[in-house]
Amino acid sequence: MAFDPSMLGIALPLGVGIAAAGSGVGIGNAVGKAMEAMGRQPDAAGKIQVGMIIGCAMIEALTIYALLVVFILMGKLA
Amino acid sequence: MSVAEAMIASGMAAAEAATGTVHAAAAGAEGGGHHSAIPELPNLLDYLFAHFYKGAHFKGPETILFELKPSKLWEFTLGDASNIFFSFVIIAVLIFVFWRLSRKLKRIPTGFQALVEIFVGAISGFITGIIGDEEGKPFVPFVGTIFLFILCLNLSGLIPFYKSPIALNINMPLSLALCVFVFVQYHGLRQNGLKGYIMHFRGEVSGILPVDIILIPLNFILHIIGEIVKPISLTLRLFGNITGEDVVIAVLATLLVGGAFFTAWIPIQALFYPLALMFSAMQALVFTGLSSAYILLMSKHEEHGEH
Repeated sequence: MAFDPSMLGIALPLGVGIAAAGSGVGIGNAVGKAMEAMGRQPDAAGKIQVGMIIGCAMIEALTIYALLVVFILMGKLA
Repeated sequence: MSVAEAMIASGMAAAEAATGTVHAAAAGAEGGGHHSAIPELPNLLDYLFAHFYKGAHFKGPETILFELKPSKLWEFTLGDASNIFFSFVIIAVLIFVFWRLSRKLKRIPTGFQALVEIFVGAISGFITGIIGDEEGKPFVPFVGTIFLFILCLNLSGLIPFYKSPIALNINMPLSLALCVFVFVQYHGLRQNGLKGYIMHFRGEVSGILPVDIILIPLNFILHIIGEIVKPISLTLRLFGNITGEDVVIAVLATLLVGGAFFTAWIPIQALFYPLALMFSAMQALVFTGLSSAYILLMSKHEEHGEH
């Protein structure tokens, strides 16, 4: 079938949903391990927290890339 | 048209097509058709020019929010440069505040100077924590200024009637990322010399010749791609996060709450503001953290003998 712009109506939200799921798993993992490490050594909590924030932002960026594709293609949804 | 009728009409339009009324405002408010699908709140310059240039029939506050139509002159001259105007305003405010502060510095800080010193100490500690205590000190002015500037740019999206120069405008984060990219390459060249800079792309060398013939070109290509991806990822991360924030605020601000007999507007976007504050600061932190990490990667490594 030819490219029908209304196919984007299901493809775009699905894409963002899958990207969000992936980053949810990644960030949950990262934060869990960070919590564990902070529990083991409360003195290093500050450094661990900073590293966790930076790691989470990098993982979040991948979801933002998917959202950007939605913004770019949103005009074609007609 | 009274305010209530305008709101109900727009509420019903908003119920049919998700951002129907905001399309009219956004497509008119920002020059360029590529913005037409993305909801956006009108900002101060849009109001001024729609009011003075086109002679929009100003019937009341609902005219501004729902029937904005700026003139062609505005779209052509200042429409796309409104980002530059808003960023210049931020720069002027920052320069003025810190210039006034530096006129009378006290040895024992009090008041506003103490507050600023706390922030400067924290940023300096963060940057030198990544790069290293004495190697990091020369970079704190550049990277710290980038942090402060990006923080102010992000937060300005939350000010009413203001538009963040980073939101929906990829030129601003791109130029910041290019500044960092050029600086990192210059730093690598200056520190390692031209030969060392090119050898830096080579990676670890095993002594076996047949393996080297294949390994070194591959490493070279991978490393160059890695270097080029860095400013792209910095740009897209900053742009995407701040655009997403501002678009969510715009969409929340134009939602109407209604039932069978009434339609009302409540400022739901205020509930999103704390999250937006946190994310703005986080994005600025990540940008500077990554910039200093790239600077660290380009500096001499003392632990391996030859990189």
